Amino acid sequence: MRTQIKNLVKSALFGVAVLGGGLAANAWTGEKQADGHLVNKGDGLFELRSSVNPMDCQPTEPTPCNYQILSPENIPTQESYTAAELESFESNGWISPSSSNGVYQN
Amino acid sequence: MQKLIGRTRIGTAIDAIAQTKAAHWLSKKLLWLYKGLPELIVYGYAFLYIYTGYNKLRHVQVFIDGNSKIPLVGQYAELIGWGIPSLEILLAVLLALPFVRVKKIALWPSVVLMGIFILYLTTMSIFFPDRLCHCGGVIESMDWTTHLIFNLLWLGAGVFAIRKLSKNELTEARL
Repeated sequence: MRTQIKNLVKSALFGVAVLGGGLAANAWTGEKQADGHLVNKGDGLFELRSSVNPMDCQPTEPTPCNYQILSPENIPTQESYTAAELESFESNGWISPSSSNGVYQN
Repeated sequence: MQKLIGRTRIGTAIDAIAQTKAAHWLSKKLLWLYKGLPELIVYGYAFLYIYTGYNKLRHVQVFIDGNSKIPLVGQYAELIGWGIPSLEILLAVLLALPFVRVKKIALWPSVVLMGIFILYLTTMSIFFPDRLCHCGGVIESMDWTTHLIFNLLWLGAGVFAIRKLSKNELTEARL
């Protein structure tokens, strides 16, 4: 009986550790993420910005001036992003385009 | 000279004993691992489902938005968006409980859910190879083929664990 209780407690503790590990792994893998906005730098190139100023949008292109990142864990941190990458991010619902079009000047 | 020969013989004998002992120890450990493998798989499922389920719930709106763009299942995006991660977390908790019977009952839907994921992955990889899945955490970074292999391995492991646990139950019942 005592051994049974001991095993039960051991098993319960291990179960809690497994669940806790799963939750902790979630926080750990979510560390390297690109948070903020992807701004249009023209010629099909985009860059990461932590915040954007709408005044910096120059309406020289009919494409969105910036995209808000909705799912940071899915956007890798890079120097720049191509239009094809942005299209893929948008089709997956990871970014959302701004209402203003143009090139970001800053 | 005679002494040296004697020492060599003793050395060889010790080596032989050590090798036999090592082999015995190794076989014992392997047997222990094999016996514990089904339970390890159960905990593996619990870890996997709590990880992906919680990740999906953390970004539930993105998950729903992503599902809404998938043909056929798009109309059920909201239901799937909340249902799948909730089910994953529920199964993970049940699998981590210290009751063998509950684990066994929860393992069945866990393996079936893995089968459904495989069906979804296969369909997506054939018809929409450019889309990425909303599978939660680092698993999303896998390409379709890697993800499919990963899930197939888990499915195989799950089936093995179910069979092994049922066999163990039968053996226990006979004793």
